Amino acid sequence: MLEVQNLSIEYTTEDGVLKAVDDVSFNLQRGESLGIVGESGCGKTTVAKALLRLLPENGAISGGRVLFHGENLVGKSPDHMRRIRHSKIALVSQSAMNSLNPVYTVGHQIREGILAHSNIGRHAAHARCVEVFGMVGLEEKRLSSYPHQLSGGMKQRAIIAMALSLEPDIIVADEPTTALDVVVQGRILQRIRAIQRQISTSMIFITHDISVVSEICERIIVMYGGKIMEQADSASFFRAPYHPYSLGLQNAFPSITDITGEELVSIPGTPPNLMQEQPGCRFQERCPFATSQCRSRTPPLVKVKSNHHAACWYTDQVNDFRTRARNRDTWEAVRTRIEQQETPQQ
Amino acid sequence: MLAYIVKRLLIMIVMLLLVATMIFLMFRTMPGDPTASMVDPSIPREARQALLERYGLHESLWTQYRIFMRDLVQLDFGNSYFYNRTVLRVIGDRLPATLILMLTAMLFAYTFGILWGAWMAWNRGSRLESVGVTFSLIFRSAPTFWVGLMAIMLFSVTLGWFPAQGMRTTGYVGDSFAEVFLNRDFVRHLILPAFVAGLYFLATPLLIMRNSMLEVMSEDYIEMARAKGLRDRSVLYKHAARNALLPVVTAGALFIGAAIGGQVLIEVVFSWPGLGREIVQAVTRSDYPLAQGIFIIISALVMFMNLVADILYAFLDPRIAYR
Amino acid sequence: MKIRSRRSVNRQSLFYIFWSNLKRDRLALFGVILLLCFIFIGVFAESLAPHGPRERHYDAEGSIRRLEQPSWQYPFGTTDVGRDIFSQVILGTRTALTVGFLAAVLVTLVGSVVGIIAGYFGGWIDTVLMRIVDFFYAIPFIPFVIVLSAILQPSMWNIILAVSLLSWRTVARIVRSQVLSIAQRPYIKAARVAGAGHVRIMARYILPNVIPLVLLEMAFMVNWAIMAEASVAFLGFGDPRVTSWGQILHINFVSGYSRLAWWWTAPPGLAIVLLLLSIFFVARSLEAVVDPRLRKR
Ligand SMILES: Nc1ncnc2c1ncn2[C@@H]1O[C@H](COP(=O)(O)OP(=O)(O)O)[C@@H](O)[C@H]1O
Ligand SMILES: [Mg+2]
Repeated sequence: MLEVQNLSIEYTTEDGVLKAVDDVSFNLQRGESLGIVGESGCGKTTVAKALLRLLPENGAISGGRVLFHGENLVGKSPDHMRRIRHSKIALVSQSAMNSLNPVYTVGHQIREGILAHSNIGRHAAHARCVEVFGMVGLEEKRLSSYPHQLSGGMKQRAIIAMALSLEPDIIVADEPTTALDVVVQGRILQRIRAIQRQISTSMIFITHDISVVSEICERIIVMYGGKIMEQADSASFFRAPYHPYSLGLQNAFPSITDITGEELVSIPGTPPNLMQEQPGCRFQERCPFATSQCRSRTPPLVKVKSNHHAACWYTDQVNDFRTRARNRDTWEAVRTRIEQQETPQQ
Repeated sequence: MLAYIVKRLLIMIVMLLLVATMIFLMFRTMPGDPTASMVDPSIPREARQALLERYGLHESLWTQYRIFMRDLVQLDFGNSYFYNRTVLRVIGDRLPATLILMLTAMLFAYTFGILWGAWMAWNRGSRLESVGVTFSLIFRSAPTFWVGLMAIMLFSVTLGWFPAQGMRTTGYVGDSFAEVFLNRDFVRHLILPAFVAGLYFLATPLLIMRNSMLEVMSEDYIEMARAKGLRDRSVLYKHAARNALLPVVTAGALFIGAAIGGQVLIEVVFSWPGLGREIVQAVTRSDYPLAQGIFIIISALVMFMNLVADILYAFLDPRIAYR
Repeated sequence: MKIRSRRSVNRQSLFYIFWSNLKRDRLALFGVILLLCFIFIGVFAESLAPHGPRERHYDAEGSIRRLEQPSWQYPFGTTDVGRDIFSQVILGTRTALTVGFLAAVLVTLVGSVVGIIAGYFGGWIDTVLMRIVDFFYAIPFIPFVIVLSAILQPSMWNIILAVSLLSWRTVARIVRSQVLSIAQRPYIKAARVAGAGHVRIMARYILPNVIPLVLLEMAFMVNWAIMAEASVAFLGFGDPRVTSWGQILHINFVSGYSRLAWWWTAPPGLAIVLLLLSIFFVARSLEAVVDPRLRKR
């Protein structure tokens, strides 16, 4: 249904051109839910906005295609895009806290979205609002509340209700629960999963928290520095990830199901500067297993199993990597390496 | 809401009494003959003495103040020497002219300022935007009275499009309100001063609207509105402009005091028979009771319009709780 | 408005940012150059003006040069009683600048002190001071200045006084809200805990942070005061002994020639526009220093 092919996105800034997304391809089937994971700044939001063609003024799609029901959305007229937004592809945006206009009631804002795409009349629109509010577990009377009268969790649910209101083909949820506390987060995630199964829409679920994906998504994409590092079925991925970055991410987040309480190890270092053209693998600087080959040549995304791809030169050594990645010292070595590289320059 | 308005009205009354006290003290402590503020120095001695007693001017400052305040709460501002009528009547005659000119100009300025400011922010970086900003800066830097003089020279004297002064063609007398204000002659007289005053008022809503729009446009709910597939016009006016309006109203309330000043100058330049021109003349003629009275009424007007702006704000922003 | 969150904004760096901003912002550069010209004219007004402001000029036959159009000899023409308008405009520059700067200094001084005290101490001190500010907001500016200058002798100093009396409130309000946010910063709390006195905290920690904002407000106040002086003088309540732009226009208006003698009406007004514009452009560039977010726009 949705096919993203070789998508590249650039931001023009005062200091130069920043390549936020580089050659990203994936597709999404009807009813499927796809998770996109990666550290903050790796280009997840940028991909989401590009699908809806809502990039900020200084951002532009520099290459690739976005096929939606076989039609390329890149290059479609603004009016055409306007009609697709919300009714076909709905967005649950990153900062739900501020995504509701403070001067209108929540109900008004949902109704407005409905009426912008259909002429079913105010009454039917209102009935629909009540319906979607029920789906997300909000009382009908909350429709006439202003955003400041709602709690964070309620606002988030209202936003989800809004996204559901026209039964879109795809819901793009960009870190929908990041701003909420853990308890509320868990409840909302369950709700999202239930609804998504119930109405069988497709979903792209964006998060920096890999454990959340295991909960909700059937497939997963791991992004780093604007590129896809690994792409796989969730089951296969969580059983055995291939990319060293994925291994690192798994260490960094506690899984919700597994509460044995292993110590968390975060990946040392910071994401690469996307301004500079980089030869080689984006992750090599922080990768415990990097070799000279990784520094000079960019690894392609290769198939490692059915429905499982990884962009690493050494997918054949993955068993060794897995054992070593579980050891804290492996990552400490990276930290020392990075520190050593930085000091002489300063 | 009602309680809030009542509370604000009470505060307003207290403020007005304070303003009146201030003006009382200003006139009482002025150099020269302080009684001149209440009694015309040019009338005969006996009459003068009687009046001095009537106002208690031979009494202590405190007694005088009590009398002044007692009269004030009964809306008795005394008599104008020049017109030989009660100050209240003179004010009553002048007030409509001032209000009509001012409200017309404000309506013009705020309508255009808000729409244009929103448009400028939406099209930021365009040529028309920088032209707009430069123009509004120029108009903000140009003294109103000078713009008025130049406008008269151009539109009245050279082009002959509009009359240069006054509110109606000489010789015309109307009795009822409708006869005076609701006719073409009056409107022809109104256009030029209202336009010049409007230009003076324009810069404030325009620039504030533009800046506030720029700020609002980076808000998440604007992106959300676009993600909902609303039309650009809807996003611009219903979401961005609607929220950007709030600072315009706040600034508008603070601007009203300055606006009255501009109004005074315009009335003088266009010989517009309003309160502003009257206070200038009253001060020039040393008609102090009249000057005092107009000053207090103008203060009341400023406060009242402030209150209106605040109520409007509370109306526009649901987050405001009336306290 | 936010200012840079550095502990104290060092003046040299402020100046540096302003300077580098000038290089990019051509309007600001234009403003600075124009303002310098005005200051030069103001300082050397007496030497630059070819004639005295009240001197009457006669032609060869001995009759008065009434309402002459601009010529080489009289660049802005003459008035109805044969005075040189060019010289009057030159001399008016000094008045405008004097009133503008003195009133602005006075206003920002009083306003900042009140604003800092109110914002720093908070509580009832803040409440009382802010009620006073509200009161001064309720007083209509021009009518007040007219009445005050009528009661006092009309003089330039009284106008400066009248303008200052009513305008400090604006600065006080803005400075207060800035101080309110600064007072929350950790280093201020730390200083308090360390036992630094109120005066010391205000002078050492708060003042440096509000200075950029105060400078900006001062620039706006210069404009405000110049405009106020011109308005009052235009209404005829100005200092009769001092030539000012407002006064030129006052005489022009009451003589009735404001409808005919464009060379008499236009120059003083244009001078005001140019002076205020130049200060605006400078202020705008200052604004970029105060508010880093603006630098990108
Ligand atoms: N409007 C913008 N202008 C310039 N750079 C941007 C802009 N938006 C995002 N970026 C940059 O693009 C990269 C990807 O950002 P984003 O898509 O927001 O990441 P994520 O959502 O994964 O945290 C980051 O390096 C970020 O700094
Ligand atoms: Mg993001």
